[in-house]
Amino acid sequence: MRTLSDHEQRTIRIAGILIAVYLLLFGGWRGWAFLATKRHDYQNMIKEAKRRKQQLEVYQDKAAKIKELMEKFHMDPAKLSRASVVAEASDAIQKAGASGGVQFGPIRESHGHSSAKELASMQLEGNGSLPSVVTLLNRLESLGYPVIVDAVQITPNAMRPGMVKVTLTILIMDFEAWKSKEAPNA
Amino acid sequence: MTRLDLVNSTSLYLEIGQSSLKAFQGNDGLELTLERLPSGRLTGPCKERLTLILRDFLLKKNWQSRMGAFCAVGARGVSLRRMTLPATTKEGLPQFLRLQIEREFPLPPDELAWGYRSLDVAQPHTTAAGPQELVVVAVKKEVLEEYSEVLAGCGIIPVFTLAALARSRVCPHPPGSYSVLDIGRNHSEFVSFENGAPVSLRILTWGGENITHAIQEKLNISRDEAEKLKINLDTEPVSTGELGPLVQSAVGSALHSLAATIGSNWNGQKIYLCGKSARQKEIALQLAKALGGRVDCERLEVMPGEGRSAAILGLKKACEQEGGAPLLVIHVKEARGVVRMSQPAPWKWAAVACALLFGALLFPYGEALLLKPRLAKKLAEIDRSAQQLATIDQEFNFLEYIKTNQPPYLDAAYVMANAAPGGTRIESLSMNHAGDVSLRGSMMNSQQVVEFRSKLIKSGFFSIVTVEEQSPTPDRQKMNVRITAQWKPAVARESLAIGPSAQEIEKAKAGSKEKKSGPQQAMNSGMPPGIVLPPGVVLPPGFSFPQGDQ
Repeated sequence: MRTLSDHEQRTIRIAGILIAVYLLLFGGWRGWAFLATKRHDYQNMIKEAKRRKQQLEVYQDKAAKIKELMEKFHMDPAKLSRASVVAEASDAIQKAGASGGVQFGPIRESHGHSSAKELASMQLEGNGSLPSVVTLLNRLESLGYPVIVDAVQITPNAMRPGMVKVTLTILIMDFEAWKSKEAPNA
Repeated sequence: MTRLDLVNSTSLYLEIGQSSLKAFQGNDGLELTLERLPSGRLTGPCKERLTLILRDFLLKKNWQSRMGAFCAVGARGVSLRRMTLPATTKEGLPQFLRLQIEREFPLPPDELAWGYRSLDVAQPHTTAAGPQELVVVAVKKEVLEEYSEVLAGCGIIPVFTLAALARSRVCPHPPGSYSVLDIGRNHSEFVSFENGAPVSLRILTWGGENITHAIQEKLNISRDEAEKLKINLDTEPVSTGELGPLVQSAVGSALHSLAATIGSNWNGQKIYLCGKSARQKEIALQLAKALGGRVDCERLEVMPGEGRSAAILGLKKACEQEGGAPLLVIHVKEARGVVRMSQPAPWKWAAVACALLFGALLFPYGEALLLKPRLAKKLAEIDRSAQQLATIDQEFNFLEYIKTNQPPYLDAAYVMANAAPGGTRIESLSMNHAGDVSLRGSMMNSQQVVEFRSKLIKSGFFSIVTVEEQSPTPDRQKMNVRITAQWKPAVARESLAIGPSAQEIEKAKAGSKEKKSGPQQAMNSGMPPGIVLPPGVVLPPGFSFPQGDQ
């Protein structure tokens, strides 16, 4: 093999250095770009995490309020069964009335307005003293069922002195309807 | 101690002679014998042995991976010339010198390793109009390349100089002509100076072995015995003992041959002696005598010990005590640059600083690389639990809806009971969750109707109160009324304080006890017997629902 002259060796050395510098710069640039992308992604993730954290803080407040309302209404919406909630609510109302001295007469039940997210509507007629009727009205919301008293009518009982006749129209709400994203049509 | 001293305090100094290599670092030295081929090149095993031993020596003493070393080479094969060049610039000088070397030396410059030093100490590389006096030292390049190769294997970057010139650093520089004679085993190096500038360099084929041989012949004893007697001369005066005169005579005759060699080409005033064979205390006097008394000879005192020699001490002195005064450096490669000694400590710290800087720059990116998977995992967990958030939303909306849509029937009844004047009789009361209230009953007179309506409005609970009809009873004793009202929306009612006060509750409790004591009193309070109002519900005095048709 021919021995390279000094000039050729110098040329090869310079070329080698230039190639090394090019590779170093190119590789460095690619590596830096890769790292910069990773960092950008990471920063976006941090922003997302902060946003989620703020959301969760809101949900913490909501959870506290849910707990408070569940204690107030004695009700856990997750445990309500759509199939049985109307019957159970009707039974609970009658028991509450009976224990308070209100004797219920005819009870009429009809389908609720689905647009208003109602499961059923009940009309109850009963007799009892005024305090027992007031007590019943007070206890209705804490029976453990999603009931809203739509209307109340109190009139004297002509047949039984000292007693009043009460007519209640009660709506039983449908929790399943809240699982859709539509806002309630209340 | 100067800064340079501190840097060079652990510098390595080497002297490579014809038959030995000496190394000195700190306070430790090393001496190795060299084996050479007939061509003068080192043998392969010798190179390997040198590499191993030197590497071991340096590892013990130095943690540096690569270090510089001043290396003084022997005079064998070295040419020393004085040259006069025309005035030129510093940049043009090497070119001129190269042409001069090409003309004066037997080998072309490319095959030589050479170095030079200006003899004009005040103005080296002057640009003045006058010619320049230079001393040039050259040696075959392959010789130094071989040394470089061996030393590079030990992690040493050598800076070559001439041992004969290095020795001159440890002797005084008297005016006029003087020489330094290094006496070796088989040969001696003789370098002569004029006014401090080197003039000539010679290898004399005379050494310590010549003295041994003279003693051996004179006393007719074996070589070993002669060698012992010679070594004894280092510590004992030559005149003592029975053999003293004979030995002295033998040494004298040997020195006469040396003096004859020196005197044939040199006529200076002083000779400094160094080298192992110059350790005899009387050798300087005997040589002076052999030279006819016209030359003053003086022995250079070199501290005995392994790795110590006049050349190494000269190098050390040049570097440490003379502030790095320029040595004549023999360059192996063509590039003529300033040779810097290894200064590992600053480079180490610079490297550490660079690494730290790089680390600081890389830290945010490293954080992203390291923590991103963990964060992504957490976000994925949050995404998976998003269903729970939807459930919370649903439950919250549902419960909130029920809460806000619970009509305030009891509040409305309480407000009406509070507003009703005494003697009011209510026939029917209807309310719905939209807030419509319809009341039918009778009052004592129209004034009570007005008061009742005013109180309802004043309570702030109702937004509209309408007396739709009022008409007197046929006996003109009472006033039948039909009133409708509309309660305010929940937001407007929030600020109202509706409900019994603490006094009213206490009163209700007291009333309850009275009822237990007598049914008649209970009847007077408007409540049917055996009926107890729920806590917080109180009917005001005078307000009663009808007791059925009497």
